[in-house]
Amino acid sequence: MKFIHISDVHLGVAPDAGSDWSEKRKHSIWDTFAETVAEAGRRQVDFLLISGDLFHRQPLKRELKEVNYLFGKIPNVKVLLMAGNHDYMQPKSYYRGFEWAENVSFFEKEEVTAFDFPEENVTVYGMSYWHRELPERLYDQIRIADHSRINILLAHGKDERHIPFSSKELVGRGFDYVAAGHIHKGGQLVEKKAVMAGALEPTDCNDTGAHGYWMGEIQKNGRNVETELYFCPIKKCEYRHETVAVSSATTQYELENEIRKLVASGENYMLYRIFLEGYVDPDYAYDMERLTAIPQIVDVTEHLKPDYDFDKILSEQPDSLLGRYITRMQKLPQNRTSKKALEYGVNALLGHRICK
Amino acid sequence: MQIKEAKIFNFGKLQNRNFTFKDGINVIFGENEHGKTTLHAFLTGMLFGMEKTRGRAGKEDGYQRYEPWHAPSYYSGALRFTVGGQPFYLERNFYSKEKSEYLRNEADGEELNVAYGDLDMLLGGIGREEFGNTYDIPQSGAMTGHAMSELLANYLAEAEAGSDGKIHVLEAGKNLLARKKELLAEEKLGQEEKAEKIARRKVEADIIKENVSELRAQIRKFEEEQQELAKRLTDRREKRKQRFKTGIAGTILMGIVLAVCMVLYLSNQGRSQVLYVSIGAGILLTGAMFLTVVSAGKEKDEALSHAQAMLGQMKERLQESENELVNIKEELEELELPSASEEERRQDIEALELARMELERLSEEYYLEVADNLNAEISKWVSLLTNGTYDSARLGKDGRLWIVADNREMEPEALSRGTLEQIYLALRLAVGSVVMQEEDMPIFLDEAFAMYDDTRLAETLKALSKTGKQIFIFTCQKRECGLLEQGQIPYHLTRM
Repeated sequence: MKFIHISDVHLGVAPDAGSDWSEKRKHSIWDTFAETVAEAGRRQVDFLLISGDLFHRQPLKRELKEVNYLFGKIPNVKVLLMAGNHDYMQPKSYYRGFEWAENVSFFEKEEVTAFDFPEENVTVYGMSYWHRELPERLYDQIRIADHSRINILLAHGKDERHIPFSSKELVGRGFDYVAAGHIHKGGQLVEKKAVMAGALEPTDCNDTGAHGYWMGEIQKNGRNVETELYFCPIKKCEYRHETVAVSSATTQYELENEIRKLVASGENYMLYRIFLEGYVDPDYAYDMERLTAIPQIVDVTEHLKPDYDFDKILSEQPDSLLGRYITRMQKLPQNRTSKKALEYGVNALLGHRICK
Repeated sequence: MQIKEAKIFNFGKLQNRNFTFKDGINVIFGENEHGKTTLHAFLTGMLFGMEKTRGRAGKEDGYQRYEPWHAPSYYSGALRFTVGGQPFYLERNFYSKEKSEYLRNEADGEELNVAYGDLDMLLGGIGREEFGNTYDIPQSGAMTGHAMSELLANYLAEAEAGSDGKIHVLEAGKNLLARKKELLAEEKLGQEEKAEKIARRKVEADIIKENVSELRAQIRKFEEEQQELAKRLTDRREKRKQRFKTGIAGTILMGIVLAVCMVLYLSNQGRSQVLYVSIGAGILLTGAMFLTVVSAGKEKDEALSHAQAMLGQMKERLQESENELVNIKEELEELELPSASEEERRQDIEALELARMELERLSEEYYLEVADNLNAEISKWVSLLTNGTYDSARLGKDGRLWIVADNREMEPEALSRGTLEQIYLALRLAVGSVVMQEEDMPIFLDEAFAMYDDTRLAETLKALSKTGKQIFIFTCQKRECGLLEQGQIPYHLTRM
């Protein structure tokens, strides 16, 4: 049995609101989904598993129709679908009573049920979210009806407010493949047995790394299960968080060059969040607008600290006002605010720029 | 610091003059116009430099006052002094176009760099201003309370002389506050923009809500109407059934009548044609009536299904609106959560406030501590200089000085002019000794004792001699020397 597993498509989301490419990305997310569905048809897989959050919010009827049309075009692929916490089935949800194409099986209930496919010897367990949050461990109660079937769980959640579960435990209980969704960073939870699909395309500039779909084949003879699994990246958009080291000697042009070089070394579908790290002259301010204007840069964040050596100041002049201030601030409970206060106070005392 | 020798190459009216000085009291005696003040200016100029002020303001500055009369480009001198036991040689060319300094440690021959702050370091960070406000005591030594409080504020802020002298607590506090206000304004603006966005979405939601309730009302009305229509229709159907039955019965009856007529006609040909025609017409009429009833029923059916379609559409629209409402509600919830940058800014604001408060508390503590030291020091000097007549003085927070006598605090202005001069001399010496903890500078007294009577002057000279500091008394009177000799106080005399 061959399958494609996707999740967290978030149709309708417009990432990086306010950026030049936000609208473009919104359309790209729809297109990528359509292409993936078509790919499932082209590759002649038996199942397309969609592990929730197909939509970013409540789907409108025409949106469901669009999706259903795409499914209808691959009649030989059995589509398994559930509502996740983002597109949860509120009382008036269009998911309720929607007439899906024949090849679509939609888990309507908020309790685990199963679709059985004797021809492929497959049973798929799953359920839909009727609420935005579901902290109960609902997957722990599933009893597998027939262990000779290839048993698949279409799961959504894993964090504490969205059906926590242990993938190892589920696999141990007899699932041959746990097709999970919800966490946008994908990966194998249990090798070849449980996969967090990750978002099909990143929906936010913090969804870093590669995104795409998983393709696999499961063969089961009695107790003997053989699984092949591949991750297929979609190279349309990938966010990267990059740290650029900065020192007092770094000039604006140097920094721009550095960032341009970084962008050039990557692919043209990559978008970057840049974090400047290091110790610099507190009065030197980089022109952030110029940095952000470099193509493929989402934003630039300064994590720069003034290049003071507090210990040195303290050892040289422990009784000066400056020394006393440092001692005093270091005695306070250390948290982000008190650390900032130390930095800003010293900046002010030395007559430097206080804070960005 | 001890000044050992002053070599004037060319400075004001003095050329190629050498002066040597000793530790302890040095009296520089000379009649008016003999260059006492020029020597005084030379010494401070050597220590702190002389800048030429541009333009008109320059007319009053030291540079132009002591510019050599005949050779303005030859404007220089040298100084030998010791700091911490080490001998130094300092040479300066004051000429503004060729300004240069040369500083050397005469013990090891190491050349030092004035531009890089080596001299500042030797002077313990004391600048012309600090020196001018303390140990450089002019003819009328009284200082206004304002000048003193400014000096103290600066002193308090500038930490102990060891730091790089760039610390300004008051200004730092002000700047922290200003930055906080900027961020607060930014925050307010952001919140307003957000509120506006939220308000717009809420208005949209309200419109949809109105639509929803309107749709609901319409649907209710429609459903009622439909029910009525359906009811009427069933009534009609009943009637129709009735009519149908009647029609069938009539048709059958007519058929029977027709059959009977046919039989009669066949058996009795040629009779009463009119009767047959009327019977035929009757049958047709009945048929037509029947058809009318049936077709009317069909029309009503169509109306009903049309209404049902309308109702379906309305319900569809209602569901769409209700879904949109859920989405807007979620979006609003997300909008109301603070963004990462908003949280960062909030944190910055809190940090700025924390920094400012801690700094304020710190400077207050520091002030009290320093003020205590200062009060003790002032009291000591006041007591010493007035020979115990006044034994305690206190600096107010505003920098004003209070004198305590007979358990009563009074402002120094209430005292006699002579006493006042002494008190302020005490204050200068006290502040000086606190400010110059790193390097003890010499004390310059330029005709500072004019207002003193002999007794007071004798007391003062005695007190000064006990300090162990190097003291330069510039005077045009023989009084000081006389009193020093009377008091058996050793001194070194320089005649101009």
